[in-house]
Amino acid sequence: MTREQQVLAFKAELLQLAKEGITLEPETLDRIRAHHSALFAGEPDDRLSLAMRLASFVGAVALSAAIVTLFYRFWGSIAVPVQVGILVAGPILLVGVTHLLKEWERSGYFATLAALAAFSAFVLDLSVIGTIYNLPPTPHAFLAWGAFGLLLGWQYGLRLPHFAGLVALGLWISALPGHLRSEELPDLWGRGEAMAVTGALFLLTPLVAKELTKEWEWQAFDLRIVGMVGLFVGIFILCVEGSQSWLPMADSWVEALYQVVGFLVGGVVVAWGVRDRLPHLANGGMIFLTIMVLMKATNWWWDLLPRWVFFLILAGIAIGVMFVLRRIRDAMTARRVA
Amino acid sequence: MMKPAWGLPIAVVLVASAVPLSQVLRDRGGERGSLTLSHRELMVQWRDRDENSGVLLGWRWQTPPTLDSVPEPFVADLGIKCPRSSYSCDSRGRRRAWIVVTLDQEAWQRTRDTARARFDSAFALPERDSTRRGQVRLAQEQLEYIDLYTSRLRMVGVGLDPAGLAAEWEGRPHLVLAARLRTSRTGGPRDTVGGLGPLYTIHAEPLPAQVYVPARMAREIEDSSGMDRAKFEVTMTIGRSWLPRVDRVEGQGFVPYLPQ
Repeated sequence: MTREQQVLAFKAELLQLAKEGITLEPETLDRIRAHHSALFAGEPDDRLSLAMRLASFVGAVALSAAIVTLFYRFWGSIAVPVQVGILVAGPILLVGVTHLLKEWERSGYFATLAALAAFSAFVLDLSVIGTIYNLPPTPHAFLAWGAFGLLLGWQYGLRLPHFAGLVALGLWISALPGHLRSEELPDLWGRGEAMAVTGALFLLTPLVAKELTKEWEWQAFDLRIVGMVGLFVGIFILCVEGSQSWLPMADSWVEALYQVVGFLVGGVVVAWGVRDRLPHLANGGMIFLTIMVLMKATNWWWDLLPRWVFFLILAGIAIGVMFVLRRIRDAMTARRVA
Repeated sequence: MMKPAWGLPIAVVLVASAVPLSQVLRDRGGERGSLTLSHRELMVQWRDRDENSGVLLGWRWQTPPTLDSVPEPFVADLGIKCPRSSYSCDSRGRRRAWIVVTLDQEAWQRTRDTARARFDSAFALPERDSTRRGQVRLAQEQLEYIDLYTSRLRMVGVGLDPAGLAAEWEGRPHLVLAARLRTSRTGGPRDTVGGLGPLYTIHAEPLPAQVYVPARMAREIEDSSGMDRAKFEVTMTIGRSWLPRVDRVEGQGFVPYLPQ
């Protein structure tokens, strides 16, 4: 929770208490009000911040697309040394622009735009160098992209390039086992176990590196989100396509095993989210469990039951999920109050 | 936690860009073979020229680069493990290997000679023969198709050691290319043909799938009317690190469309 959100929640609670007949001394209220005014002097309204974030994201994606398509429009008429020069200089210049924009505007919305453009320019750099010199595809480019995104995010406190860097790094780690077995892109990511293990690594890193995550809460948040998605996607792939597994078992056995594992892992993630007051984990786990239940319901009943009975059962499952979510919410509220 | 130095992202860009460039520099230090291919074997890839001005050439084959009915020991030597119970080797069946490609000029020439003979016999028909015009046109189109589109490129070997493959083919025109292999069983899971055990089909895709033509050479094959009727020769060279590159492009004009 940001400081601003805490203050808003505090104000809402004070209003509720006043309705219930409990108030603070006027001098205390005045001092608190003055302190909060000084704290947020010059800060934008939270709703405007959300609009700025959205505009920054859309602008970043559009600028990145413009850079890539501009290069492809003209590269065919440029000599190879000049092409390489442009490709290498592009991301470096955009890192400089990011630095200047961050100095100019501390909130980072404009810097995010430049940073994501720098990330896209770097992706373009290595991809096109590979095309120009007919290099065979390699997953190690994802390591470079991941390092770049993470460093840019850490240096300037920018979420989007940090998130992109985590995704790229995750793709590199999950591609490594296949690469060591001389498999080729894009088959490297057909390995559900590699993706699930990478996701689990990311998810557990904030637990292990507690001192780091205390200071860098948003990095820990991004690690958990990317890790959770990787873990769930990896398990889901193996639930429906057992041939992608490394296990030396029949495909149907692999799928059955990972369906059981999926339900267990989903439950553990939900419980973890409730215990440590991490709503994104609790919600993510519930979404995954819901998808698993829907998948099993379809496998068992789609051909067996009349359609109206099938959809009625799904509605019942959805209502059950709502009751469970309500209990989770109440449990999280109880823990917060305690 | 301390913030990283501001120059670190820039250092990552420089180092990561230097890695492939140094690989290319090392590759240019030697040559492991070259082959002159034509517009029939390396076809200009279509793209929206308003959005992408680069020229890429794609491989075109006389016969698809496939080894059919290959016994299990051969597949095992390539490091591919296929489960006995299914057709497809799936993820376990795809891996990087090396292929040898060459030009089958004889087969192509035979095809062309046959088409030429057909054209000559159609042309030799009397002028008053009502089928003459149609037959001549058909034979002309077949000849043109062979001249423009019928490839001579064939895959003749697969292995894990590029140097070994190159040594086998030394003295004969060839190229050794990196490739991605996809393997599947030829017959049913329990079929064993003639007591040979399970047989497999290996399909190879050269890496890279498309070859870049630098701007100064692309002018030889570029025409405002389109590139599918350009005739050209491309000299492909394999460098010391087994990277393919286009060394020379010689334009040989454009084939006009046949008059209606």
